[in-house]
Amino acid sequence: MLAYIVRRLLQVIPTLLFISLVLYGLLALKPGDPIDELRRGNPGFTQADYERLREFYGLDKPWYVRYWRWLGRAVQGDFGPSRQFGRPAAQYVFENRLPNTLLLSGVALLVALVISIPTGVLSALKQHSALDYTVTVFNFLGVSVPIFWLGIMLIYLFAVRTGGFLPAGSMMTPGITGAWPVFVDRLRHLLLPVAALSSLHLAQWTRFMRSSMLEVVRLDYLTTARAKGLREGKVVYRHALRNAILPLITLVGLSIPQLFSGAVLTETVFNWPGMGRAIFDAILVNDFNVAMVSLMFISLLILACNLLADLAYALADPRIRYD
Amino acid sequence: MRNIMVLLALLSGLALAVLGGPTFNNLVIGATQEPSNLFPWEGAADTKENVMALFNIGLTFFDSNGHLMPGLATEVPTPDNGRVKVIYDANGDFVRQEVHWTLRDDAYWSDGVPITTDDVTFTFEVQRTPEIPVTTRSFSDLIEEIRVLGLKDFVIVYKAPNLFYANIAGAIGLARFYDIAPAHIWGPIYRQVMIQVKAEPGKAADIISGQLLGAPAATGVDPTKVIGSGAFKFVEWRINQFIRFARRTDFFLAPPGRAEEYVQEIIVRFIVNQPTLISALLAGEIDASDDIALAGQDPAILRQQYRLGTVFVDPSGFIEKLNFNLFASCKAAADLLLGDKRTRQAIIMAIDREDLAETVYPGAIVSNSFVVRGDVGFTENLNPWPYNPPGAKALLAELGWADLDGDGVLERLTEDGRAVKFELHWVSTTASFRVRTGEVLQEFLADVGIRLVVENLPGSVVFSTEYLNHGSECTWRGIVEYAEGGGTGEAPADPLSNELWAFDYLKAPLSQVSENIPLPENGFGGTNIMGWNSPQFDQLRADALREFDTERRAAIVAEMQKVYNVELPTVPLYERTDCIAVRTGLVNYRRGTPVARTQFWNPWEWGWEQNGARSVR
Amino acid sequence: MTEPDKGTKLRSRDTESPARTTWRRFRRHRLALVGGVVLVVLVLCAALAPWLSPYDFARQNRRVRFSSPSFSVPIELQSLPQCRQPAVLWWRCGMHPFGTDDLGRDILTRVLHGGRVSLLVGFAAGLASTLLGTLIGALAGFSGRLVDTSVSRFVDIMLSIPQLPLLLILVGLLANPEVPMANWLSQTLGGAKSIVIIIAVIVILSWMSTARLVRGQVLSLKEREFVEAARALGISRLRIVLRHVLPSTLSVIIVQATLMTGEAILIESGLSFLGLGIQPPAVSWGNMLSRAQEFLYYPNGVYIALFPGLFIFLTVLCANFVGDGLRDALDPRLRGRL
Repeated sequence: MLAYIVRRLLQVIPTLLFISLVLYGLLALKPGDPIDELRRGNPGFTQADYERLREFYGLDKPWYVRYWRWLGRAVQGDFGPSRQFGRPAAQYVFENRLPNTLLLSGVALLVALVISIPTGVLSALKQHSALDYTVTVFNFLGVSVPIFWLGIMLIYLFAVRTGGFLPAGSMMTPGITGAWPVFVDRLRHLLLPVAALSSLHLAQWTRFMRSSMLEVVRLDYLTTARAKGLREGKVVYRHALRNAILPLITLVGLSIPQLFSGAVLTETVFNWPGMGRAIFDAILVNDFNVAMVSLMFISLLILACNLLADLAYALADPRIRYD
Repeated sequence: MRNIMVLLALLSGLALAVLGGPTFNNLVIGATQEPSNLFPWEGAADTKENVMALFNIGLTFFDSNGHLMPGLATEVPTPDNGRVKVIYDANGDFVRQEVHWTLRDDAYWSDGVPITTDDVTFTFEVQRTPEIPVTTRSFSDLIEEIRVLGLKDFVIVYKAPNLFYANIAGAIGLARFYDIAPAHIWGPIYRQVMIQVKAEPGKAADIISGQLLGAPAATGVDPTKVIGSGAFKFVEWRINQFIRFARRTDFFLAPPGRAEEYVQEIIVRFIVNQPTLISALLAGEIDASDDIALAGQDPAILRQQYRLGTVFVDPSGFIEKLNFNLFASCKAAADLLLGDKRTRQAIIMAIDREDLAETVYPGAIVSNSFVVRGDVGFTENLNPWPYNPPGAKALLAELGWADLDGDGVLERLTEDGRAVKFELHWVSTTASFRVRTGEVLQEFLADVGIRLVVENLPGSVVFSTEYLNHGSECTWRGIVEYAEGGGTGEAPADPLSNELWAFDYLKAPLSQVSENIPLPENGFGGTNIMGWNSPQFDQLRADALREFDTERRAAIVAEMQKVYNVELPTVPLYERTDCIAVRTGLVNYRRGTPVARTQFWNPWEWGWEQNGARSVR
Repeated sequence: MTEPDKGTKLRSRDTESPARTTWRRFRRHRLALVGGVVLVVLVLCAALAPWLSPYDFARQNRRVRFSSPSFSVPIELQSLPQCRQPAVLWWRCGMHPFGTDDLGRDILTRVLHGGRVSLLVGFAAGLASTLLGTLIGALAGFSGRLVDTSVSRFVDIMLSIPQLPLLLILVGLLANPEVPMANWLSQTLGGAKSIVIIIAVIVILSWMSTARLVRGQVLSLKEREFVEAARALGISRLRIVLRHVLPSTLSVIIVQATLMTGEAILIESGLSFLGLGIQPPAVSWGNMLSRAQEFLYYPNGVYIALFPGLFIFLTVLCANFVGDGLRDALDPRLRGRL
């Protein structure tokens, strides 16, 4: 087991290096550099000025040299400054953007989990009932609806039609003080984006929970347990649920990174200043340092979640061995 | 269940509660763009111009009538008050221009330090350092020297005529936002950065953007370091959320009546997404919009929806234009005869610009000039180029275009015998009114046999020099559409907004290569991205730049517009307007004229009528 | 009398071709059947769009901007020369069943034409990504250990790169006229450029799951007797893969292709919404939505957002129904699994 973990951890390093190389190379292909702005406003700008400044800013070097230099500093934790905001890119991403994403994605994740597990279980236990069919249909709806469109429709219904019952976006109203009003304010701003963002996972996980529950319920040891006269409720909670939830852990673990970077559509519709939108904007305006630090963070997150999901599975299910 | 009911009641209750506005005697302004930093020397974004104006004031400022008023200076220098001297030699040729400024005695930085000539000389030193990114050096390059006469008195000596020696927004030749920066704050930072840059030239870019643009004084990480000269002082900046300012009690300009009756706090909320901003406005979460936030919105429809206040429309000073690739070296453009003025004339006649403006930018006014209405020399006495498809078709036929294969698109045989189809490329940004413009233009031009191929690219691509300044190499090969400042009190001299000249006739031996047309020979510098070269226009421009008399200058500017209106190096579409929403009771929140440059020129006068503020604008 | 009948039935079922069995099982899945029918109708409508609608999808009529959905024709519009053809069945000229958009274009017409692009992107990208995934998966599964490991590593890495940002970078690059290949693309493809780019990008980023699936299937099949037998008979590897292994994995592949189609339509709509997808004048459901949000406050503005979204939703829903039905039909053991 330990050898396995070490091996997996060692694999992470070359993978991250490779990903960073690919991403840096792709970003470097984009046009636009810091001298552009200087040049546009200065008609007296000569080619000599241009060359001098390019050299000065280190932009005369080919991209792989710049990559090497970037890497050298990145491993020391220096990801360079953000071109848009002056401040260090890492600081901008981790202080100004990540917490917002954690809030939105965290709540969405929680909501999806809290609803999907009981619904999935219930619908599996009452297979072929009206409830089961309703749940199934809702699952299909959930995985088929474009999130951003759902968001727009929610805004129309709850913000436009009601004349601002709920805010149509953004994170908070500035100037509110006091614990309770702040809490309510955040909650109001969270409702619609969480509803939109959690829809997909809600559907996927309910469906998954249902099928994995169905599988477990049919297994022999449950029949045995029932035969032994245990109450049905006890059977479900003590044995079935625990085993059925296992695969869900893996699935949830694997979707976490998605919640971080893939929320760009939700963030755009609801004007939520999160990571997804930060990456999107950084790529659009050539803020390489911000793009790189956030992309590397998410890649690392993906790798870590993959590993953790595998480990969680292994710990929970002793039958699985990794040698 | 009961809990849910309580929660719902609370939610709906709070939904109606107003957190800004008259109740708290503060003002929440909604903006769709956020400044990148608060560094005083650099930046072109309008939103930075606005936000910086909340806690800074220049030597002068324009009021809502377009009058130049003294800010940090005791009075606006003019030849009449003896503060402006133009010195000519025996032949009557220009030698130098001297402008004498006196700083107000009661001008203090927001931390209480007096504003002195030390700040002025320091600001100029930074402005002149080649490694420091500054917005423009066009005006600072005109400065021969700054003579310090005392703590509050200095003379700026220009080696070439500067007609705009007292204007805001960098025309004096000092910092872009707003003329004078605090030396006691920026001095140590600047010196530290320059030492490091000299020590590690390889890291220069990172040092400058990280430690200069990223200094606490520019990012607000340490609020005590953000110091300004204006009516409000910086309180906090929550990036991507809002920036907050509080009224200064030691500011030298005062509103009528008691200052407590006016807005005490200003919050600018950054809501990138326009629809979200509009909903916040309609719901009363913001009290007013800035001048950019509602761009392209239909004021009539907004007025219908906005029950809490009013919506008014002001001219913006920007003209939306089609820039043509006129370079003979770009074959794709030359094949379409874009360099022939008749082609451009045909295209302007093929577009119903009234209809276009109404559809894509409601409230905008059709323009036939490169100067905006109300500015020095603006003339109506121009060909209005009315919608005239038959005229356009006739001109195109005259140029040898005909639909040879009957597919509805014109063709033409070139001199070397190739058949060319009239497929015209149009490129602009992804702003929604521009996307719509592309679609409308497509239809108008199809009617005269031109197939418009539209492409909407991110602004960062369209405005990158590698793209825009390389038209001679065909990076763009038809039309690029964007807006340019149409004078705004500086026409025609501001080389920033004036993209039409090719050679600087003010220079004694004329340069061999155009200074303003981006070509390989000048390192693709300059703003005349079309490659338009009109000696007649350039001569007039030089004459205007030498003419200190406003009336005579106006006559020259009118001449320039006539040349422009016939040659049409760019096709003017419309003068953009600013649509501004204001909650009932807010007074003096008015720009009035594009000359004022920023909607936020007079924050000390903003107030709520409900709280006793008086309207003076 | 009944006995022989039952016998024939049983026999006929025994000799029934696999395709027939599948079809019989598929038919039992009611939602899938309905989904399939709706999909076919949608495809037909999209294909026949130019003949179904009296309007040209790009033609603007700025006099009727933001009109509400209605089956009546205002008198003042009856004589306008805005129609390409007089009337199609009940759809008279001047009638806007779904209303009109911000430029006065008929929304239903645009939805029909947008369907052509969106469905094309969906089917093409779904098919291509499944093909590519199958090919790579089969290669990995059937080759030696070295190839298998390196391909699997590559798949892992591709899955570790954040998808959406990569998508953005790729689309941005290919749409950028300064990148050499992009310029070549725009010259060769002209107006279809953005469609081809979007298909390519979706394929590049979505073949991995299919590859994994197919590799797993191939690995498990490889050990089965009939493959061993074929190998013993000296049949070439390629032949074994083409003749024996692929047909056996076909069920997985078909299901995957169906689900991928829905996924591709969703990705296209998302990218177009962000302004990086299909460029005008081409119309797709996604790019119809790209500016929809700003008109929510306009009277009748909501229809610009409502209808294209509804059609994306409907299509993806049907694709999912069909995929589900196919899975049940092709492999009853997988019933109910995702």
